[in-house]
Amino acid sequence: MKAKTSSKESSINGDNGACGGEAGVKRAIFSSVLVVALILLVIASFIIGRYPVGIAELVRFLLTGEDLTEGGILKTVVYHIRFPRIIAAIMAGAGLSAAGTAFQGLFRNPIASPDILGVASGAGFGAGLGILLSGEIAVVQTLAFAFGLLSVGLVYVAGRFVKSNSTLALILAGMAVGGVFNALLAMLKYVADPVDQLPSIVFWLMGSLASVDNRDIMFAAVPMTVGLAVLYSIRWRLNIMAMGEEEAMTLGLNTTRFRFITVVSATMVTASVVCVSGIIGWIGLVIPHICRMIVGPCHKKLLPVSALMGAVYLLFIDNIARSSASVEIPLGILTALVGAPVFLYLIATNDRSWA
Amino acid sequence: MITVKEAGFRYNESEQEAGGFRNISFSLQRGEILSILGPNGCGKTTLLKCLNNLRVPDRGSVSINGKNISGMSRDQIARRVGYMPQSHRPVFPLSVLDVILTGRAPHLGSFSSPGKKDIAIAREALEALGLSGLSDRPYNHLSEGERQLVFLARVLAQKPLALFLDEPVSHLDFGNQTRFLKLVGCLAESGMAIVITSHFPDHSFLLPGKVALMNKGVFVKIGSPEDVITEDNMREVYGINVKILEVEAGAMRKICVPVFDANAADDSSMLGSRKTYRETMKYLSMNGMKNKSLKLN
Repeated sequence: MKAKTSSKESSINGDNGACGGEAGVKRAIFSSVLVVALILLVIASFIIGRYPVGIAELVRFLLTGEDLTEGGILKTVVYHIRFPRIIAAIMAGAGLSAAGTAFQGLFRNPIASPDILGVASGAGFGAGLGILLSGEIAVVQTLAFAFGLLSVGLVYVAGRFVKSNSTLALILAGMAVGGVFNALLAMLKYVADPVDQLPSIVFWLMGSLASVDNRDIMFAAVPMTVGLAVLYSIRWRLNIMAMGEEEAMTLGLNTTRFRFITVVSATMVTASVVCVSGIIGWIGLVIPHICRMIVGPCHKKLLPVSALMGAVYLLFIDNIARSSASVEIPLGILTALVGAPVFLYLIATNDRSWA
Repeated sequence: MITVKEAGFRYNESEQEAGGFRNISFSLQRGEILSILGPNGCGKTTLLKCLNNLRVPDRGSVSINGKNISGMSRDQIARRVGYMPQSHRPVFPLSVLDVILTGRAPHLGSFSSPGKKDIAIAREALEALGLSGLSDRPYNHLSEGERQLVFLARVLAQKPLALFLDEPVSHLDFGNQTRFLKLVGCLAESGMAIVITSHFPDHSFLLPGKVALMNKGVFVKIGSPEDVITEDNMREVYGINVKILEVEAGAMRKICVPVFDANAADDSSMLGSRKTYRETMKYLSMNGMKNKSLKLN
């Protein structure tokens, strides 16, 4: 009995050892709160909406597949509308927050966001092109995904030409390539048919999960899962990278390769989110900040906690987006309206270290 | 174990000397210490970076245990060589323990993170330096001196065969400087090869081993402290007059003290700029007089 207790104690101490002692307790509480919040939100998201679903009805349908409604409305609402939307919100929130955390660590820059290398601008242009060329959702998504990757690829190639400080070079190249794609997107908007094409482009750019279906989820799930899995497995090494380029090299890190792997994974995650949801800003910037303040800056714990909180946050916001007004409010508007003031509050109150 | 053969490095093709070095050769066995002395900008830091392959020498070679480091991967180098940078500006408030754990990176697989064994090693290193109390403190709230000690702990947790220390005592207090040097001596005794750069000639007398006097990118002299740190050599390299004295402090040892004579004709300049020291002083005293007259008014 005694031996059992002591071994338990030592394992707790061992856990606390990596990634902060005091933060360890806070982190455990915070993570549990997030998990509970996520479960409650998922249940609430099935119930809330224009077509009211009772808890008893929902539970019966989930357990037995029994649908007593006329024409299977319950199945349509729960399985074909709300289920993909819930999953998409969770995936997008988690993906953007994880990618933001990875970029902030990689670039040693607490104001880095998932689209710092121009993935959103590229994807926006791709989506615009898709809307102009065909208007088919599959085409729009594929082009958005492809141009998101392409813009980061261009940034990477441009950054390689600069000899010194490749991290800063990447960020600067990201601004340049993003600028080019924004200009091209403006061009597309200019030539787009103002009756139907232009509104779709504008609406796409504001971000929404309104039309997500199970096929979209399948489309995005593979690159997203692969990207997230890689980010998760290299997350501790972000601590080394955060020490600085040269220092990371003296600690045995092949920084060129590490940066490449991180950028590719984070970009895959971001692009697969953006191509399904459109552009949802501020999450990838603000969520990692809040989490860093609560659980500390060690990326080993920060990355999963950020992903979890991002999922909770976006699912919450998406519920507001679809149920607070008589029309859908685009997600990008809400995340910016909430995110920007919160961010201001954070930088105003956090005089410690910007991080 | 470390052999440097006619190594050279230039930052800029057209620029001569600025921070680079040339024709550097030396070798160091296990347990030996080489201290490198030299004025600001003479190439000490660049040389250390080349020894670590952080910068690749244009000329010559650096090898560890007979193997050229240019052919080694970063983690192969990091398992053999620990490097302590001059200073470090942290971005995120990682805890001291987390910083020390990064020293375990070369011993871990690409996708793994430190386990219990690594945490134990990191704690040992902290304890060995008497820093256990700092373990949970955010690293960027520490003073520069404390950070230097944390870095030494990290480099110990890295368990390398050789240590390259770039001005490791520059921010340490008077007591910690001496303790640090003793520690460096102990580490050498335990079998590490150590290269250390410094601005204190006295420290070279305190450390067992060789001294290299560096100026404008070349080793002017290399050998025992007694042979290298002479009044003539110091004057040639630093442009000031010094006295080498022998004192009884623990044991008989030599110390190097600057001759401080405000009226001496000293025409050398700081950082090799055109302005001579005398002109600088003239400028400062003029300003002082102006300020005085302002106050009188």
